[in-house]
Amino acid sequence: MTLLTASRLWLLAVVPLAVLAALYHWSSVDDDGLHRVEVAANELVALDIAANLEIMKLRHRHKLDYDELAAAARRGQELLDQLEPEFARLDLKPALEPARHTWQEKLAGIERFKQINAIFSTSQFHFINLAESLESRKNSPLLNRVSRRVLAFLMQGSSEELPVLVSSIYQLAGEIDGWPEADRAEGKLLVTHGTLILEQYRRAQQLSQGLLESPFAGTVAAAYRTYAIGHRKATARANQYRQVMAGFALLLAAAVILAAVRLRQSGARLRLAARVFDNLAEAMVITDGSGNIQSVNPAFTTITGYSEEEAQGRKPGDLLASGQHDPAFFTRMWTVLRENGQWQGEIINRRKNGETYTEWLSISAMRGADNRVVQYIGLFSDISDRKEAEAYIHHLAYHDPLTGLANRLLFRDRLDTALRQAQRSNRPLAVLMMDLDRFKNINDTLGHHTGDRLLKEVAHRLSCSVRDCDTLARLGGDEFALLMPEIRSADDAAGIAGKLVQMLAPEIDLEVQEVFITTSIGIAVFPEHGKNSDQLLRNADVALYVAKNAGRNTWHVFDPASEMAASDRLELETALRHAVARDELVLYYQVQMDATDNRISGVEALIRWQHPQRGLLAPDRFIPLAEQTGLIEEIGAWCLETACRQLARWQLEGIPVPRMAVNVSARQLRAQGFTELVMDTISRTGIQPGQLELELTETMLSDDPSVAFAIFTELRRHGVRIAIDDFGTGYSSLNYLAQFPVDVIKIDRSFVRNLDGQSEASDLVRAIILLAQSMKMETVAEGVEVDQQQTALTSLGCDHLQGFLFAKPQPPEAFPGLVKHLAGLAPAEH
Amino acid sequence: MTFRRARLPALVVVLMLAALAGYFQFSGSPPQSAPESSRYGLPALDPEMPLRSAEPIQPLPELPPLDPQKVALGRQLFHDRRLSADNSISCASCHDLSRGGVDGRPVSQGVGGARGDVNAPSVLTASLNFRQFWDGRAATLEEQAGGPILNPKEMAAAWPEVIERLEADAGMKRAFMGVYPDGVTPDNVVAAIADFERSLPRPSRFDRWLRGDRDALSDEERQGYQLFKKHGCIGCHQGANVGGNLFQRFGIMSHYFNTKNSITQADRGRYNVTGQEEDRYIFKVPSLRNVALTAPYFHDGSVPRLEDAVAVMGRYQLGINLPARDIGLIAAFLQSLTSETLP
Repeated sequence: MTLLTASRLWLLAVVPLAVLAALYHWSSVDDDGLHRVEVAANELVALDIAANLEIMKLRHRHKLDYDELAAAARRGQELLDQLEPEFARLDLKPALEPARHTWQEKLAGIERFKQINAIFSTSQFHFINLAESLESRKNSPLLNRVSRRVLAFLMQGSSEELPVLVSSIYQLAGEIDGWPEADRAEGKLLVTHGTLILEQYRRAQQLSQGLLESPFAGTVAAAYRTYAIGHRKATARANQYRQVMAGFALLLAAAVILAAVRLRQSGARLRLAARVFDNLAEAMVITDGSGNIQSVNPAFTTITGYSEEEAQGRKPGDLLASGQHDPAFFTRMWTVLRENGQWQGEIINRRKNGETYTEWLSISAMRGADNRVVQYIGLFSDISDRKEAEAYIHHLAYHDPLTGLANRLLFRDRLDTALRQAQRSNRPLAVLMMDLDRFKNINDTLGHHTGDRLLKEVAHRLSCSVRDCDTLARLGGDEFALLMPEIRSADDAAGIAGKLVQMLAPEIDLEVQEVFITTSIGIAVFPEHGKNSDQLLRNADVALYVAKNAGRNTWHVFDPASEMAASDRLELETALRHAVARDELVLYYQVQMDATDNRISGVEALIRWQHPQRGLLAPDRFIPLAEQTGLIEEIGAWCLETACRQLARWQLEGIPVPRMAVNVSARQLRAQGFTELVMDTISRTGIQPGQLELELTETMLSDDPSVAFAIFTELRRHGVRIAIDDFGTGYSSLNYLAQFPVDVIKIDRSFVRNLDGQSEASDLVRAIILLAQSMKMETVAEGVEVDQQQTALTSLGCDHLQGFLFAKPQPPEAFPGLVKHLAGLAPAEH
Repeated sequence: MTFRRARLPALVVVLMLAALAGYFQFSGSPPQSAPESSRYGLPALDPEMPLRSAEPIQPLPELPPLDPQKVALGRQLFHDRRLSADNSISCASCHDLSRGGVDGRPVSQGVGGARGDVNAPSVLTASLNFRQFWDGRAATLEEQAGGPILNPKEMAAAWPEVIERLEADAGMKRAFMGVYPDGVTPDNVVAAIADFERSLPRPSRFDRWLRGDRDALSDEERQGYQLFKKHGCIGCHQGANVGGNLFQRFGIMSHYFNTKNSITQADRGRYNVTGQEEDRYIFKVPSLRNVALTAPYFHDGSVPRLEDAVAVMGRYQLGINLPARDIGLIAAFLQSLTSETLP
């Protein structure tokens, strides 16, 4: 009996202990698992945010070392490796797979990012420094333009600019080859870094963007949720055991002890964690699910000026709002937060002392097991310093370095913004285009240096007479523009224009000389003269042209009546659309004669429109319209095809025409697949590439040099000849043209007209011919009408002559007769 | 700061912060001086003054807490020739601690006079590298340590024979049992060696300078450091290990390997690990700590003089022919990265 009692007592002591142990085993082990997974998952999410923050900092040279990013990558791998056995224990390994996979991708991205960013960031740094150092020493408009475009590209990164930028850098490289030894090395390095920036920009951008948008955090959260559900099931099983054992009175005591133990543990952890939270340099704010601040760390107080007591219970938006974001911004932010559980971005807030600052803010939503948001954690750092650096690059990109005024880029930007406002407020705005009268003379006679000083003084005077809200810009050369938002009527703009003209009246002291400068101004007003920026600028230009013609030193408001009546234009446009289909277009052919032996050296195809009502129209009546409407592409292709076909037919008929020249418009040249079109036409019609000469105008080269350059090179590689039409009428310098791969220069008729052997015109023509000879180009004189001109041109060494002296443009059917007639004039063969 | 409700989510949040702060020790010192104004009237981008206030090179971190017994065992193993096939060489044969942790040869010599593929990298601050080997194929020191032991061109051993030899040594076996319950195993061998390697980093004069001792560097060395930053070397050689935390192409501005007579397998760099074409000629950026001790230079040990190595880097990585004066000053700065004491 006593034995039995003793053993029972012993049992009584052992059984509850076993129960306790079992309970402890079933509940605590599982709980710890969930706890560990939760901690690791949360740490991974935080790690992801922190890594993204690092990437942003590195991308913007806010930071130069990769230690912390590398450490984050290593820690991430460790944590995932820790999670794997936890998931395996609940048979949930596949649930972790997406997180592991996205992590591997992110890791590879981080490695590539570090590599590319090290190159990109160093090149960017060198480029800015080299550009600044060279610009201060070299007076090179090309250098200024290229460096500013590259910087603007860095700011905006629109990729369609890439080809143009690349070609302008190559152009700069050409110029640099001619620089003195001392600057050449730096210049070349600038080009190399510029090229590297362009090559790597998109890559660096894509990489960092890809990393910031990595779904990793989301996959971790999903894995955690799956684990939590699996764990809940396991816990439910454990609970059944618990209920069975509920009868045991000791259960309560065990639970109490358990709770006490846990409580003590968490207290210790809390103290440790709080110390870390306090020492974090990044500001941290934790709110409850409805956005009320629960706690902040000391860095928060340092940045914002608010202590924890002041912040607690308030919403961050109320406390820090700067009023610089519209409500839509926050709506977007909350939408993203709700959908992705995470938001990152730049935000402008206000400190306690009223100062605004920019912060890079990451917010994460922490969800409970029921998927409801229980807390938001905001982590931010003050990036005002970085914004200053960006502002500097921004300034370089948007301002004219000579005068400090806005440049074309900024002007267009402001104009677009102002137009949007004007549309809302229904108030007119004005665009004033200004062009200094005869500035080129001053520049040519007194030198660029003096010209620059003059421009600075003009900029200074103009800026004194504009309102604060106006934008004064130097668009290039001696072209200025003024944007006047919110005026009452065109009269306001005219008043200012009058004032501007007056401001320039007093003489300008340029040390070397005192000069007088005047300006002409064209004004266009929204909405009367245009609804969008292109229309307004064009019409202001038209008005400027009128002002120039009216004798300069004056202003003119755009007058719609001075343009072709709209209805007339519309009618012509419609008719033109049908002209090709109805076979109303015809080509006339004008011969080009060899200056030395009076043989036909080629033929130029000239388009005419046989208009059913208006008769035969010359190209100047309809080609500009075709250009504006885009019909030029179709018409141009038709010309090319018809001319080549005609040449092939003449050859078949034994009519000796060695070459066919066809005019090409700018728009055609820029269209996709122009080279293919030309080569295709050649092979279809069966002529030789060397028999085709494409004529382009000089202005097309300056409009889009890179495109022209590339296409010329390609066409010439195939054997097609390139001619520059109306040479001498554009603004480009001879040296500039010489950089282009060109075979023939056509001397404009305006020079030929005045050729009498003595005048200035002779000197100019001689200069053109000499230049062409030195570049191994041929020359064609246009508009040769009298014997005297022929003699003069021949003695100056011009290769080919074209004009009424030999023949007017002829319809194809009249051509064979003409050829026979001309052959009769040529010297007999020996 | 107070937490009124010690609920689990709050706890987790705080732990998350703990983790954050664990890897990110932000430096919050204010900018040292205001940059002067440029001709545009805006702050100049001064090459001497990066946009970040702190220096891009960080001082050597404190050594991690290590078990002295494991470190001692690791040191013993590091010098133990029984880890090679014919008991002829140890780790220290190629990573001589008294010579900067390298052997001074272009490529290392293995068992039976075999020639290795690459120049032995220094072991002195290997623990600070983000990955190991020139091509970064090992993620950890432990993973690395096993490599040369088994490499036929290096120690050419096999684990069973190594373990057998070590087990036969009663003293060695005791030392293992003292710190590792499972005794002599391959994992424990490399773990002890790795822990020993973690104990090796020693600060340099430059670290003292970084920590505020302005007299730790001579004028020349200071100028050299400014040039190191100005010319862009700092783009890759940054952080606590002055490199060793990213991969980079050898030959950014011009093709380096075109100048070589024949391209070896090792020259392909990280391509050998990933098989990706864009990883060809990409290597781990080596640490420059103790670089003055570790001639000859580069993965192929092709350049014997430090000054010449600087010139090669200038030409191929930065696209400039560095002036002789700048090379001299940069080399002077690099001298200041040599540890002041030997481990």
